[in-house]
Amino acid sequence: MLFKTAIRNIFKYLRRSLVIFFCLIVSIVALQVSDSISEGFKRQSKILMLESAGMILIERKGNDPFDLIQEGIKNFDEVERRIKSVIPDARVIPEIVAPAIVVHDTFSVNTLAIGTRRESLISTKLAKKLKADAGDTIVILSTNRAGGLSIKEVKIESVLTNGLFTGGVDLCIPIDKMEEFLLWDTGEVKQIRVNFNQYEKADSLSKLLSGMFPDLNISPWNERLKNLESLFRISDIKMYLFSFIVLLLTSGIIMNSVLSSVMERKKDLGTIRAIGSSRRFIIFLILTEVVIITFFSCLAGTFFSYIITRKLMQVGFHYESVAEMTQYIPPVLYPAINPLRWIVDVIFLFVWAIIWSIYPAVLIARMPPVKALREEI
Amino acid sequence: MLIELKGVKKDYPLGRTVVHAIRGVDLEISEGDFTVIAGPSGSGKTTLLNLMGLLDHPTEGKLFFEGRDVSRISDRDATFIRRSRIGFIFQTFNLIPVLTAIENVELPLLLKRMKGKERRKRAEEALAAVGLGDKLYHKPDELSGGERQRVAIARAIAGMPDIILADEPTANLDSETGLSIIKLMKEMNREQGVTFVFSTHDARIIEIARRKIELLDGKVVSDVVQNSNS
Repeated sequence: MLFKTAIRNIFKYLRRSLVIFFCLIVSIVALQVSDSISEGFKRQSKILMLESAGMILIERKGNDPFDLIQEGIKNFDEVERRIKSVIPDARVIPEIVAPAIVVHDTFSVNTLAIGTRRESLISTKLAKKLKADAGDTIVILSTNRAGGLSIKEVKIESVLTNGLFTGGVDLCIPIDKMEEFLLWDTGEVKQIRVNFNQYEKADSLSKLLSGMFPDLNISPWNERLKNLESLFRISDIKMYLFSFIVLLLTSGIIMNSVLSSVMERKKDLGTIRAIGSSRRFIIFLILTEVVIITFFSCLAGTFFSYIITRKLMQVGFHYESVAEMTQYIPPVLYPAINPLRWIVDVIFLFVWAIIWSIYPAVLIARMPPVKALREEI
Repeated sequence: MLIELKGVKKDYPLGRTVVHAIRGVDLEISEGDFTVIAGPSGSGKTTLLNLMGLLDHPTEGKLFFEGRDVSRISDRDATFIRRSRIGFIFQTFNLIPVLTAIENVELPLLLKRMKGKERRKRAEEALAAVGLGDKLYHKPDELSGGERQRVAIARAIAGMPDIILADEPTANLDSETGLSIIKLMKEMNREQGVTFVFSTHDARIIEIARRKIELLDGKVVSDVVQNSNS
């Protein structure tokens, strides 16, 4: 009967019920859609970061990434073939940090070979400083692995504008020229990054590769990037702030609507009190109404959130200009649905709606029945 | 003695002034009484009934319910007594608009935690007793004023209280309907032994009561047992 009375009250005071209903729908949609955008951003950025750092990183045991004279991993082609035999979707990326420090003026630059290994890159910063272009000849002063000093004139083969370095141009010089003065074995790489489609499998695949390459150090991303999640904390803080504002507005509307609704039927509630209802019964009656409205709001809200998120997943948010500046922001951001987060949103809104209805419910329940009965509508 | 008032006063603050609604009333209500509280508007009838019904506390004096001092009773205890021992009939019927006639009657029984089937049976009997056995599922706005007040009476009697307090139960009814309502109450008093205390200023209705208490400016000016003609 409590339930039945609550439902009928919802329909009798339909206008106020609808205010609460739509307010909660807007809130749940705001929370869930923004959660999905945040989730999408985090997932995509995480993949970009992991790909950049390598979902699995292979290096020689005792490798010092800053010691460029130290010997690297030999026979890259063979290593790549063996990796692909166990991880077919693997993208095996050699980190050919040249076994030498190349210096020019006051700039220290690392040379980096790109995939084709037909050319080698030197840094954007240097290119900018030199104002060099394709066909120009530059002088590179270098130390080789043996510790000797070389001076070499190198003709710039081409200029890359979308290479591994972003925010400028990269100069490409012929790799044989580099080899020549750096005494560099192109089959030797400093590190190998292995990326694949499911980064969650990094642990198990690492173990598999460790068995295949006992002499190499194979580490999955989660061993190296233990604090990766904390990087997204800023994004989370923004989300929490947004959620807090949404919830604050919601709480005001809910409390005001429930308060108006109970004040409008003060006399009815006073009568129920007079004929023997406890305060608790009145509170339950009002909260039951709120729970019913919230339940249907959350259902409808989640449905709308799904429709909106699906649409956004098709369209995406375009951040090409921002993505050019940093490699960790995806050029097109697609929201992603995290069902657990959505459930948490629903539960949170449920509790929130109840919390903000308690005050009006208690207020009317504590009112002396004789005072409530005096109310004329 | 069911209800006893000893030197009861009730004051209400009204802005900066204080309204002395009841100015020292001594009164006893016995079981089986059929008592009318008469008096002009503002004489304190409603206040007196509210005090008897434990809806309000006296400012001064003592109020006893079956010998127990209930002058400063807690809200929880007052609720319990109202739920189990007192029935109320209001001037404006005060039916819950979203509930049907039978649900309105069931409500106090639900508050008494009576089981569903028994509750429904009792409510049907109560509505049949007031002549509304055929309008169980009508909502208040589908009933006439007289019918609504009958539902209110059914609601008051369904829980089989020791006393029913009726605040001007005929005020919003035409004289014929009002008279029939009072006759119905009297019949219940006679046949079922329910104690009724009601207020009115309708002279025709006052005549029907066995005992007439007259209030004026918050004081009892007469308390007489009369030969009622039902």
